[in-house]
Amino acid sequence: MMKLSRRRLLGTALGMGQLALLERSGLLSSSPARAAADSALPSRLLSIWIDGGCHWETMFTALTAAGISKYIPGPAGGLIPFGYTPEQVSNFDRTSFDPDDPAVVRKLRGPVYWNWDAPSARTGVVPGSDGQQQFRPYGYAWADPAYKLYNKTCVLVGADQGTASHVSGRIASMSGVAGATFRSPAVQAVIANAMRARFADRPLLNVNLGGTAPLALGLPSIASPTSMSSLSSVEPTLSDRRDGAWKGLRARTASEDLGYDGSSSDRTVARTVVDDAVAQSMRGLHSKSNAGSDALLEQLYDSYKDHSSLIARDVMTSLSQTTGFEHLSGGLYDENTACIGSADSCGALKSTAPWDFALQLLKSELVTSVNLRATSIANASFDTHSQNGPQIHTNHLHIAFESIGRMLLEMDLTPAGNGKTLLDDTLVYIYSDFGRTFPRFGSDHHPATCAVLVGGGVNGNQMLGGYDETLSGTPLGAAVDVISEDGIRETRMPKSQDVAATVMRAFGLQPGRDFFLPGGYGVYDGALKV
Amino acid sequence: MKNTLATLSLVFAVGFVSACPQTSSAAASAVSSSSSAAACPTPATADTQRIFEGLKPICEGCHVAGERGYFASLESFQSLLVADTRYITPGDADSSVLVALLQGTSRGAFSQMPPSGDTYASLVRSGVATLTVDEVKGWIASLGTQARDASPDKNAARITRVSANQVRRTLYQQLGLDAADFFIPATEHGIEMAESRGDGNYPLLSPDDLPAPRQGTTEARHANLGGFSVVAQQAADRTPSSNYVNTLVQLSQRWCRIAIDKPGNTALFSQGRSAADDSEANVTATVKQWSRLFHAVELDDIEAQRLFTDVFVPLRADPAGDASSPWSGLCSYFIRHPFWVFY
Repeated sequence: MMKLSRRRLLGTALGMGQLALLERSGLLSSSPARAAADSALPSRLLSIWIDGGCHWETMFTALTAAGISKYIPGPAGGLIPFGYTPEQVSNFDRTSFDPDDPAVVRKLRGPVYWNWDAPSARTGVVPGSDGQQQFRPYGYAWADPAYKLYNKTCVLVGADQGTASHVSGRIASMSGVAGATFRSPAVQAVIANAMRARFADRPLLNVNLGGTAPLALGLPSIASPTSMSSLSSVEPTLSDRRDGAWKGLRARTASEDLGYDGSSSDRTVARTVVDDAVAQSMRGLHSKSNAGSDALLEQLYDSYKDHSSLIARDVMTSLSQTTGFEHLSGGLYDENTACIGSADSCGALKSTAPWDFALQLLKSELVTSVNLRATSIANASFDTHSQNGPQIHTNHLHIAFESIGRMLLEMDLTPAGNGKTLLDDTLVYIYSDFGRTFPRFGSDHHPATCAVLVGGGVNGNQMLGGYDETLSGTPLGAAVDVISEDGIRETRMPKSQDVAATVMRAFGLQPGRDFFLPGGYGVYDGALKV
Repeated sequence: MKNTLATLSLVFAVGFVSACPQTSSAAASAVSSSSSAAACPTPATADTQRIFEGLKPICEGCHVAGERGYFASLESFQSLLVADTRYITPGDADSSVLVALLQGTSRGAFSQMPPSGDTYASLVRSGVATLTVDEVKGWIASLGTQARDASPDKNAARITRVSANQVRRTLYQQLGLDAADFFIPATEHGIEMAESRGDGNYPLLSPDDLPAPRQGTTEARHANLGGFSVVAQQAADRTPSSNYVNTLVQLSQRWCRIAIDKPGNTALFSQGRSAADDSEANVTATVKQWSRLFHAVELDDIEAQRLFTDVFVPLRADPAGDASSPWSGLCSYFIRHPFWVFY
């Protein structure tokens, strides 16, 4: 039933051409996607959108020494350091490397503004900065030898977004295809849908905590994003706690889980009498209209059913009983305030995104995918066009990555069963709208972007890709090896479709079978364990 | 707002009979000259298929989906591009925008296609593309007048989900509510703002509204209902998603209760009826009135009786409720019903 309905819906809403493409993807399958039941693969997705478009190269350096000299200003800034020399770049595992090696497979490395010997230090001259920069601790979480987060991190470098527009770039990062609107479902929705067969007891598949909602274009309604902002925000949508809306309407009884077409099942749904009356009326409309209308009615019917189940689960109690940050502490991690300069602008590291709530969601076993918006302190985003844009951006980005790093360390300290940590069971996908022109050339939008993958299924401590350093200005990405849709290895400039395909492939989904991206795509070779 | 009766009548009664032959085959070579097929679309010819396949490797990366999905299929190519005189002037290649785009000489929004890098003509010279511009010109020169496919898709959905703004405007009207039930006036930097009376009332406003919502949860509710906001750069989502349903269920229950308890409000109880009268006669009469109000549908006695028995009676018997509970449950039923959700 579902198969035909979705087919009809897509046929009417998207046109048969697109339907044919999605048919190839298997996205019209009535069964949840065939995600590999390999316990080594992640089962959860945390996607982190860094708002505004990133100077990735100020955090991760995928350039040769010559490239650094060509594109990155020299060290300056004092307490607000920016720019760097090749000598300031270090592998995060502190191994030595050849800075002139143009190979596009590198260990995780970047400019070091922190003091390796005293990571909390905020004074003292940064080595190699010619006395121009003072120590800043932010970003150290990624290099801390106590946790070795870099060993679980892979940076995909230089992917062409196909756009330099904010909204379009976000959509490219989320779905693989740039556009004013989604033309294929967001990776978050695809993965959430794929996991629903294996984790049927997760009532919230695709949660959005800010930013563009990851639409489930053409997928079952249960994979549609559920927007939240905090635990309290759940109350008026996912709970029956408020008397104003629920007084005398809360009672539920188990009724047979009939399909929209009246088909029976051996399951039950805990419905109120209003839920039951609406469901009964809707079943009476089945086949009274044309295919497209019927498909929409079925979507609504299923959404109501999901709603009944969700309220009955009392997810608020489950969430409120789950602790967010609880494991990470000690030394630098006891300091929660970050400052630009000495104290020009200060704020709490945990204020840069709803980290605590995201942790509650991920730890609660209620959720498959969480998407959120991350900024720096004081809600500073990264669309930094101003004259001192690269300098402000550099400092804020390090603070943002310190926040993200701490979130991931907490996940890595949280057991998730089978000897895995929560981070091992989660693919973390960090993306932005696009990249920005290299700092020697301002801070404008640039289509070559990066994506950071961390956690389950990722071959860590590597950066795949670079930039065409023969070019002036801000070049596009250098060629990398990708495994194309038909299994052929290609060496070419990566693009947004490749990032999206790599994210989905990390869950064991097969390109061309479990998903399809318009415009052709490949998987970054070597990024994943699968 | 709900012309549901008319809509459903149309949906249920209209038959879809196409007089046009299924002419998508590339082998089709001529337009039917019969008068009955005058409005039928021109089919793609074998020559058109050759051009389609020649251009496709270069163009399909961007034009395989969305509003400009010319290369999604041969049918799309024929209907959306070949038969569109904005791009192709049959018989006159030099006046055709397609040719100018391929040569990089167009004076429109894009001077060339592909939109950056080498022109198509250059790609031909370098061997990346194989179909020459001259072949495209020759094909256009041979084209006769092309008829576009104007017939509707018989499987297209004929219903549309109400938007977030429609939810608010419609329910204000149908429930006898207005902004004063949810907001008090305020200003911020001299700009008029809507200060929520409390989120317990489930206030709903778009970020684009004036007075603008002062509370984030008010905007979030609008977004959850599918949104659309220029200010928030938020595209509309008109699907009947879980997010929409999760929000609508509670909002409808709360707003119904506010309307029922609002002193002097006659929107839900007119003609001398009252929420205080929970007799079967009053309830079934009110249910029939609400069906006309919310759905523009005349409800029969059987259905009215069902709602009394299956909804009102058990809710009235629930000790956790009060006198308004069964009425707000019934009222919410009509708002959650697809006749209300879709139009």
